[in-house]
Amino acid sequence: MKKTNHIITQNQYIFLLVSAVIGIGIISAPNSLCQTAEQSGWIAIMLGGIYPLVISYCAYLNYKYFGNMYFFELNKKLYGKIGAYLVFFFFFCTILFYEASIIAGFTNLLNSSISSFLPVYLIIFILTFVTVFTAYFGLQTVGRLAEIIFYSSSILFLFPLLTFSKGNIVNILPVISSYHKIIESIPSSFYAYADIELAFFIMPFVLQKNDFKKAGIKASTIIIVIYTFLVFTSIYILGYEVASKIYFTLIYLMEVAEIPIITDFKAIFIFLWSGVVFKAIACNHFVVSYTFSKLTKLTYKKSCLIVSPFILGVAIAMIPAHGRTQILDKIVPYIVPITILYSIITAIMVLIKGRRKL
Amino acid sequence: MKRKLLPFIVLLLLTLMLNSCYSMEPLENLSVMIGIGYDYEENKDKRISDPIELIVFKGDREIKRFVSQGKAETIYNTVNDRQTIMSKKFLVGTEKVYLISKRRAEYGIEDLLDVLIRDNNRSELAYVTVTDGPVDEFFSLEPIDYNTSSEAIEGILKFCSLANFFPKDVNIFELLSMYNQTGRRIILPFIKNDNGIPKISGICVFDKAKLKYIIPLDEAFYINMLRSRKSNGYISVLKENNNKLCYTVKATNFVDVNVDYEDKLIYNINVTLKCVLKADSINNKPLSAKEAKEIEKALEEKVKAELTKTIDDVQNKYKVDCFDITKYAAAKFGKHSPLLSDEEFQRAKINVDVKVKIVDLGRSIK
Amino acid sequence: MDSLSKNIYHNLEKILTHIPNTSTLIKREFLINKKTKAMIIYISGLTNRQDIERHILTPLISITEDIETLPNPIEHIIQNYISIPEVKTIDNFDNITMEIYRGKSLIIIDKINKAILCETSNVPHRSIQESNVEKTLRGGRECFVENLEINLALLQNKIKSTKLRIENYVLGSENKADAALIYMDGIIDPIILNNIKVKLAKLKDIPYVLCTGYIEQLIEDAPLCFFPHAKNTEKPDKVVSDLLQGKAAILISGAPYALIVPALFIEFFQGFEDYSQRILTSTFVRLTRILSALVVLVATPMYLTVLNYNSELIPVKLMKIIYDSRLGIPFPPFIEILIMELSVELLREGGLRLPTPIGQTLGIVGGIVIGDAAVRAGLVSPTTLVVVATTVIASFLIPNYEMALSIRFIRFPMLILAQLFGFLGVIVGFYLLIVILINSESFGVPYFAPFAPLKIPDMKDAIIRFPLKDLQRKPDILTIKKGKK
Repeated sequence: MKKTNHIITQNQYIFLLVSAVIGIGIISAPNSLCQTAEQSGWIAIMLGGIYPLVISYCAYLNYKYFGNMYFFELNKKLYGKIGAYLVFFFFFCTILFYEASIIAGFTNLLNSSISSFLPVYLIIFILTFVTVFTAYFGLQTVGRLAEIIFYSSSILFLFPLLTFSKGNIVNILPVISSYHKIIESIPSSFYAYADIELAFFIMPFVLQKNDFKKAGIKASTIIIVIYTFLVFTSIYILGYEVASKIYFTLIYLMEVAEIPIITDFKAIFIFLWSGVVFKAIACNHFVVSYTFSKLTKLTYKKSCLIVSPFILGVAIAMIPAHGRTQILDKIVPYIVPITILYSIITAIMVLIKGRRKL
Repeated sequence: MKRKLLPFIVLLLLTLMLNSCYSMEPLENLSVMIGIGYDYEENKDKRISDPIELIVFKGDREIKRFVSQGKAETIYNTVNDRQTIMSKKFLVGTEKVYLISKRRAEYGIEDLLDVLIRDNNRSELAYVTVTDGPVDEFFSLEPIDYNTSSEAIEGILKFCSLANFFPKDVNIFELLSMYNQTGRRIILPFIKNDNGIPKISGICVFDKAKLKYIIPLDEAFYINMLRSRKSNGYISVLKENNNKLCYTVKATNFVDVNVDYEDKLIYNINVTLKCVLKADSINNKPLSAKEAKEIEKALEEKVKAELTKTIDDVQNKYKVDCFDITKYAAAKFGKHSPLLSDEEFQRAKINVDVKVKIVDLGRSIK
Repeated sequence: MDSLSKNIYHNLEKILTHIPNTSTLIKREFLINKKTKAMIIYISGLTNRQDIERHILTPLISITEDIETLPNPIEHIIQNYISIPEVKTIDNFDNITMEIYRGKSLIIIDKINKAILCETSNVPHRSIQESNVEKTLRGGRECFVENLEINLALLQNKIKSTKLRIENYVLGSENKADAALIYMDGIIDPIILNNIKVKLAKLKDIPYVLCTGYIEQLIEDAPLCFFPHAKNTEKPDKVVSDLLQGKAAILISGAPYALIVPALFIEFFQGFEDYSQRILTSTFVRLTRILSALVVLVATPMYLTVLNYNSELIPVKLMKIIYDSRLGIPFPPFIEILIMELSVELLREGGLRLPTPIGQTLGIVGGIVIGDAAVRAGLVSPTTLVVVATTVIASFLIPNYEMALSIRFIRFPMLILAQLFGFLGVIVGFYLLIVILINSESFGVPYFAPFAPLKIPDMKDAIIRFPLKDLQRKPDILTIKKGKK
């Protein structure tokens, strides 16, 4: 049997980070941001970009002082064995939760657009199957997939421009709604950037790190630019009032595009976008399986299969969209600060211990 | 052992998947709706009446239509009523046009606006208009060059921007934007039945979700010129009230709005009309640049006078912003500014400046 | 070890245990110097009788010295009397069957425990003709024949390089087919070469190997994968171009094909004349090929989905036509499309092996029956016919026959997925295909390169063809870097 191959290139590292973050959240990001930040939602999401930057920089620090040490060993060194298990358990739960929420979100999207006839559990089952099938072959496959799908789907990010002529600059003005509202909505923009934690796990697998610091910054910048651009375009075209009323804002934007031959452009968009979502779920599934295999000392492939029923279950539990947003609103405010806190503490510890080592 | 189990698992999954019969029907069992209407009948138990125009296929390229009435208490309850007579499954998303009757518009369309946001199957590109009289009357008109009257009305609405400066593409997307965006209001074309042919006869100005005024086409011409962008219209200047002596241009409008506040709102509207000269029976000879300037000037004077008069009318007679300019104030002073009210609009000073540029004098030039 | 004895009759007996004593086996006895018994054994039909007569029998019979007393009689005879260019001395009967069946003649002489093997083969073979399967508009017309030596000669003549290496193999424990592995030393990556050699070595124990197709399936990593992992070609030109790019070719006697390994997915969409044609036209042709593959895969499933599940996506004007054509068709869309697709496959497979005149008749009759009669009878809707016919035509654009077959096959699972899950099924099917492509390897080379892993320099010759001077080099992907971890 072929051994699971986890080795990736630095380029793939960038696109793995990008594809883990950009999935289903981006479709509804304008909606959640406009509800509080109004027409300045795009500024809020730009400022929220500090989150991926910090995390990817912490990953770089880990590399700088400890080289290609596996994340589990690194934690063991810093926090002891129990600490390492705790950290991994935390990430296992978090990412599993994120993965299930992406699956549930995409299921909702499909169910409300092109697959309204399919029972929900079947869609979730198909999505989980596809994910497991991808992640089963290891990080190398996921990395290659992320790379190719990012390049081939990057044109998708420009699709909102099709409706650009329907927008009006007055929808954006005045640029700043109120400083208070913008700052208030930054935490909710953090959820959009969730999953950037992937950087910690995949960092040791990067084969040649020519300019690793730049790679992290590059990935974060791509993510921030895409998010900001899409939120900005949504507000520009729809106005924050409509954007904050329609949950899948980006899809609504696509419905408005007038394309010959097909009446509803959203179907085409979802058709092409699903590749982006699949790889986002696959990235998450890799981390979930990887952490699970470290926690239980099973092989990667086995744990890849074992965790899938969990994800199936959690995803089914999160199916009603209003219920999911409620859960997210409750849990994310805890997860994000813990992650940031952990990353910063780790970075400080790494700095101290790493300096001593040098 | 594993290998022996695998076929069973695959079989099991396949049966599970194949078993989940979805209630989907192939295309030929669907009824294709082409136009949706919203009507309101007073003094009845079931006041909401939603006629729908459907395409009926008879085979061999023969296409007929059928208007299905549904009467109930709410929009979706009409489905309860309608499905009792329908022999096919409904297909939502193919509608081309939404017709709202005048009675219904006066009663208010809040429910419809929410339905359009919430229901993701509806077509966002369908045109919307308000009809004079009951909607089913319009659906049952005999179309001239289409199979269905919905398509005929859609055609009228689609090409109305070629004249009278009607804005382009007043569809559901635009309706929702007009309703929701700060500083805007719903303004829809108004269609009446002109001896069996649908005809645009004005614009309807809404207040929130209720119809407030219907402005006839003559007046609407100059309102349209201010509220639309890059639309077309034909303008003529007559000499000595002789209908044969005139300048006529086909104009495309470009509008630029600036807002200021000095004790009251000041709107500076710059209208630029790029024109193609279509007729000049006054000079009646090959034209030079100098004469072109004269024509421009004559047009500018006329349009400016008319616009000033229209603005005056609107501010005093209709007292609501029909020019879609409050949004500029919202862009300048914030979306929650108190300056966006109708009272402020009535008080506001609206300066209009017209610039006419003749870009094409036609074949007859010096 | 079955070594020779000094008794000529004893030796003959031993030989006859290896080779059946049929009428084609010629055993000609003669005397050297009028006293030493000798015998020449060969198979008529595989050998050149004139050569045997002129260069072996005539000189040997006319020997007048006593060879029995010589210290090295065999060497003496070879050096002085036999004028055959290729001669070998043997002292045992290993591989004797193979050698004689190759057309060699064996000379055994009494009282000497060695034998002489002379190259006299004249195995009957086809002359070099133009290929029927791979038609080229530009480029050489000649193609391989069933004879290995001629095939090798064709290649050697085209690459006059010091780097050319040819290694001989004998494949199959029973049929012992001659095969050759050809590569350019210094250009091919040693890891890939080693990989191929290890796999070829295993084929010695397989009972029989008849054709390059056998080799292909026996040495590839994933025989169950949808897509071919090695290329077959009849054209020496193509082999040469692939050899120079760092690949290896395997030839086997009896098959007029060369097997080229490793092969990448995108290569199956590239035609040989792409490089002879102008840049823009050949790029355009490549794009149409890829588009046609997509059409084959997606057109009917999409059509089915739109008919069955997502009818609201069709514009009303188009819907009027489709709706009208579907009225009165007794079958549900899935069955209707499946019937059409299957009958097209029947026609294609049926016409494939028929002689050309009958094949044409079949095509015409089938076309009329399926195209017109089925529509008039109301069994199939005209729009379905248009969609299915388009996919069939599109499938002929793919230059490689095996790849075309694979893609034609995949559209059936795609169709079933579309029927099961609608749009989602098509999406999932397409996505799984890409994952499978990304995950496969052909002899250590990622199959879906240069797309995944992304190799920007190799993209110059993937979908778009850059000017030739940028391309005349080895693709990056064919160099394997050892992962240092």
